[in-house]
Amino acid sequence: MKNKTSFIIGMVFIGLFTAAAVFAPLIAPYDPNELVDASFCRPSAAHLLGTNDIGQDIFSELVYGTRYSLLIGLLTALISGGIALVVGILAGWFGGIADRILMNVATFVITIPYYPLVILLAALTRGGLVTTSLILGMTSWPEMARVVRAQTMKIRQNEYITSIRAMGAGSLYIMGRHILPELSLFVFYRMILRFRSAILAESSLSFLGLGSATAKSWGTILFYAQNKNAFLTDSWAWWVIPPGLAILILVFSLFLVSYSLEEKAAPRMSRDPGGKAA
Amino acid sequence: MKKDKIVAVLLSLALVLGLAACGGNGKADTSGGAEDAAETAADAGSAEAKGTEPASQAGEQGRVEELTVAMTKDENTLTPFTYVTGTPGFDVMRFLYDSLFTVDADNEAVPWMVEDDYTVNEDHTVFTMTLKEGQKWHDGEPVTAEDVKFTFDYVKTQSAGRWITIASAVKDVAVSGNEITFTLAEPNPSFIRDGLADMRIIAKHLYEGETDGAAVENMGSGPYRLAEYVTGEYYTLEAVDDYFRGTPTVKTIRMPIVTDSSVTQQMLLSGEIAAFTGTVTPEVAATFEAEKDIELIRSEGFASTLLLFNCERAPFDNAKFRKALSMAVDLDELVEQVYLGMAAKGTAGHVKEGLAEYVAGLDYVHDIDGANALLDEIGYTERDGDGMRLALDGSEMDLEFLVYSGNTLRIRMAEILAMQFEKIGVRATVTSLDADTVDAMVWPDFDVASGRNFDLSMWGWSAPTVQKSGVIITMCHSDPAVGADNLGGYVNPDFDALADGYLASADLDFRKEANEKLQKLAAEDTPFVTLLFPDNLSAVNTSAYGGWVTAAGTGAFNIFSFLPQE
Amino acid sequence: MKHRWYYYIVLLLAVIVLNFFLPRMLPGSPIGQIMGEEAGKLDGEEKARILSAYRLDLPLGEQFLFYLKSLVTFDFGVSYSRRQPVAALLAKAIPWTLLLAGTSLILSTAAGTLLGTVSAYKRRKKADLPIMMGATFVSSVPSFWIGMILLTIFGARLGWLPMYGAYSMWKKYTGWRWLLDVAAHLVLPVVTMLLASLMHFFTTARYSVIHTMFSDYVNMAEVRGIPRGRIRIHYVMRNAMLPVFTVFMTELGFLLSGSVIIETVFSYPGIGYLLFEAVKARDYPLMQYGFLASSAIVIAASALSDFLTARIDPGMEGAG
Repeated sequence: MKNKTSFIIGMVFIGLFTAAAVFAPLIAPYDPNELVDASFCRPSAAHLLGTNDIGQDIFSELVYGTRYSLLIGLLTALISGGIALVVGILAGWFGGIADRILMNVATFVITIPYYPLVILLAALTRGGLVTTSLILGMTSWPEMARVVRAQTMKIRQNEYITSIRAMGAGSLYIMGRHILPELSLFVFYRMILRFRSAILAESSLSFLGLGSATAKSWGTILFYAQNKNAFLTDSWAWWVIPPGLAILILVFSLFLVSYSLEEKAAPRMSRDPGGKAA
Repeated sequence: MKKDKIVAVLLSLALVLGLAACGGNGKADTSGGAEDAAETAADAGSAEAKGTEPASQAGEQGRVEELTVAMTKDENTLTPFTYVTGTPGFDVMRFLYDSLFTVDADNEAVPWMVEDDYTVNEDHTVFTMTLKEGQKWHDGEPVTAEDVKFTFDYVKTQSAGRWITIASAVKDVAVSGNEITFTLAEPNPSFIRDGLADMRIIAKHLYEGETDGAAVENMGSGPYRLAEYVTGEYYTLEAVDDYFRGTPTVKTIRMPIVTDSSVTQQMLLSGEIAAFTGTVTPEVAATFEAEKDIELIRSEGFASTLLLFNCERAPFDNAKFRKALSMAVDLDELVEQVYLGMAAKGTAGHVKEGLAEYVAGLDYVHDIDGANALLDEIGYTERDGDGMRLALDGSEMDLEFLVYSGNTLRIRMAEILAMQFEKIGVRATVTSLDADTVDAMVWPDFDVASGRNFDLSMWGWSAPTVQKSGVIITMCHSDPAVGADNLGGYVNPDFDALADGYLASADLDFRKEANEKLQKLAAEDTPFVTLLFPDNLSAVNTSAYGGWVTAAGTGAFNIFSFLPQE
Repeated sequence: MKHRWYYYIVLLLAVIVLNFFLPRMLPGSPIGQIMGEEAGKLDGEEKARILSAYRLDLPLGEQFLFYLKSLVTFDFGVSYSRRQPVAALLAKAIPWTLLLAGTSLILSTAAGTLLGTVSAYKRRKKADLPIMMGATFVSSVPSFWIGMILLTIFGARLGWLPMYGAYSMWKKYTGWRWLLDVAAHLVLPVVTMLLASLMHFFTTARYSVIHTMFSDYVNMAEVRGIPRGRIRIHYVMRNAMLPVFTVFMTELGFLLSGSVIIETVFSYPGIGYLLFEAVKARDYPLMQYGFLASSAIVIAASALSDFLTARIDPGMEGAG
């Protein structure tokens, strides 16, 4: 019951955000790029969340920002999670030389200085959605890969894996059929975190002066609110809280969904209906 | 029982956010913060810092023991060879090192280290002056004319372009007692302002024999000496009591390095600091104005913000295309929406109104219809599905518009400009990249002879560059040696010929006339668009210190705020 | 047991090469930093003289050899942008960052693990959701925002805690007073970092505990009738902590590089900000040695992690 409720609530919100992203032009009262009023207007009937530092409608920015932020979060999570799963499972399952090489590659990736890399890639590709996702995704997988590897090793030692191996099950089969599902919960958790941090990382890069602060995204809205000192005026209430809340609700919804999947992810859990250790 | 803990955690979270809700109100009382600031910032004997003394008196009679002023960037050891930027680096270095002349609060170059009776020969090649008595280095040694001569030789062995440029123009420095005579290679009527008021004088006995000037400790002859510097953390400036132009009005200036502008402004509001070296951003001006103890000081700014065209590349190789874009620019919109009115509009002659070389009547005209007509006239008539003009060869035209990703005011201006261009059917896409990346494309190797690789770019020149005489020549002459700042690669033989005449002449009237012609030519050809000059906006705490002086071209934290008024 | 030391050597060599070439691959050059805005007005001869003073005129290969040599002689030269010896700059900044990032890493590991474990045990109980909500809440705004909120409330408004720096700069405290002072300056930045990174450990611990709770051998222990408390500590926690440990060790690698934003907001004199500024200034010497130090920590953490993992759980090594 409870599982179902949290799943439904989560999905409803995710659905709402997706709808906002898809139908942004219908929902938003203005073109988010257009200068529709004076700068720094307070909220009014004409501008639900006031206007930003150059007189663009913040509510419209927020609605359009859903598009960009959802995309960048999703893309980053997929890149990061995908690489981590492949590398982690292969390293954990095969061990030996493969493990050492893959894990050393992972360590090497961590050692690459982040900010120079960002500057270099931005200069080569002129920024944009895909680049930002690539940078964020490519630099963030090693940590997840390590845990995946460690868990794979643990799972590999499980008796049931040993026995189906003895029965002649192939590596690929076991990895796909048994290990992946066991890890999926963890990876899903992690991808949600990636999703969140990708949305935020974009604004952090802008904070440091390395982002492409021209895209309409939640991160960019948050960045400009900081850069234009929303904290020293009243404007934080309509400039910061709404995008912050949007990120919160979205991330929280994803967690709700992931909670409901816990049963499926750890199959033997379902044997115990009440959550036994409690 | 665990539940209780969780509830507690959540409660405290709610508390934090609730407090944030009240805290963000901007105009909350600052008394608590101010007391705390004084407590943190002050030792026992510093009652003045708490503002117990009437503000007006503090500047005139009573001497303030100490003041905390945030430094907005680490500027190394703050010597002429280590400071990095104009603001705060050069500005704060002026407290520590003197120059023969100085630019005063009214933006005039006046004698400083030298007597008022200096002489200049007719063709502006020989400048003779006498060093004032009573000047000392911070180690107590007297400042001599030999130090001056040494300075002009020594800087040429170092790497700071600013000093090399000045010293290279000097053919000879002759010294006789306290008398110094500069002989220039070329006539230069503005040598005093551009050269002598800029060059910081260094101590011969300190630098002699040192190959790396940057490694030499900080010691000048200015009104303050650098008592302490901890890299990345803070500076302490101590007043030189027997300074030859009077005892500075604040004994100790403590300068913590605080780089985030939101934080510095927050610190000023809370009373933690009395001022900071940077400028206030336009949107918080009202917040500061509402504070009782805080005064907003607005002075004229000379640093320029420009829109650069790559004149070597189509479509900008056609002056009419550039002209059309300049007509599409709505400067009022930029000034109002981005600067909330706190900036002066640029003129097509580039030189700001009020400066000596300003030429009236060269204002930009905002004319969408005219711009459209001009583009049609030169053949940009074909449009794509979105109504955007195609290039002459029929391909899609999407101009890349570069801007520093660290400068939000410029990013916003670029975004607005792109929208203004859209109105005449010209598509420009704003790309924000890190500053050095943009520099490498706009100004590779900082040498205009190395070419350029961009379409459109936001740019800015610092106040000293903008105020140099003959600035239009440096920015538009096609010979890289003369037009060192001609980033767009603009070429016009007529302009070059006129400019050469200007440079060869020492006749001020002739120069004035030539300058007018040059600016008119540039206004017609539009090698770039001079968008605006942001005002210098600084905010200071008047209860901590009352002697703040408004000086043109710089913030409130300038040496005139700390020297007795004459 | 062999700990594959030669792999780390190879890794180290790769990192040494990387940290020389990556900074130099960036567009732009340190010329502007060295010569200033007037760089354009210098003639070729002057430029050449200055470049040669900084060895920037040498072919890249020669510069690389010089760099390799410096790694042996420990002569790191002078920073282009800071005009001070690189070694001194690093030696001053690194301890502050280690203190700041180390403290917050330990605290966020502890807090995240605790909350994650509680949340796992209380799974689907009333307490579970609020914990998750709280953890999500604080991490849904960028860390610079968390920092600004804390700074505004506790620094500016209430005046309880200092707003900038690593210690009270003009007080010249010594002994206990100094330690207390440093601790007071540490509170806001550490809490900010803690809040921003809590989710990592929270989710890892939660997943890990749940996963272990239902594993075969915990099951077996229950069947054998071992008391619940004992199972929780001895069986579940011991095993569940391995992923947390892995994440901890990885985060340890980010110690020197991960705190740029916090250092900026709280004016903390650490290496994160120093190196970030070096990147923007194309300060090759500062970048190459600074990042090398940072990379070396990553490799050391990774080696330590391998070593400890093998000690804690010998089964992991069995893979090799």
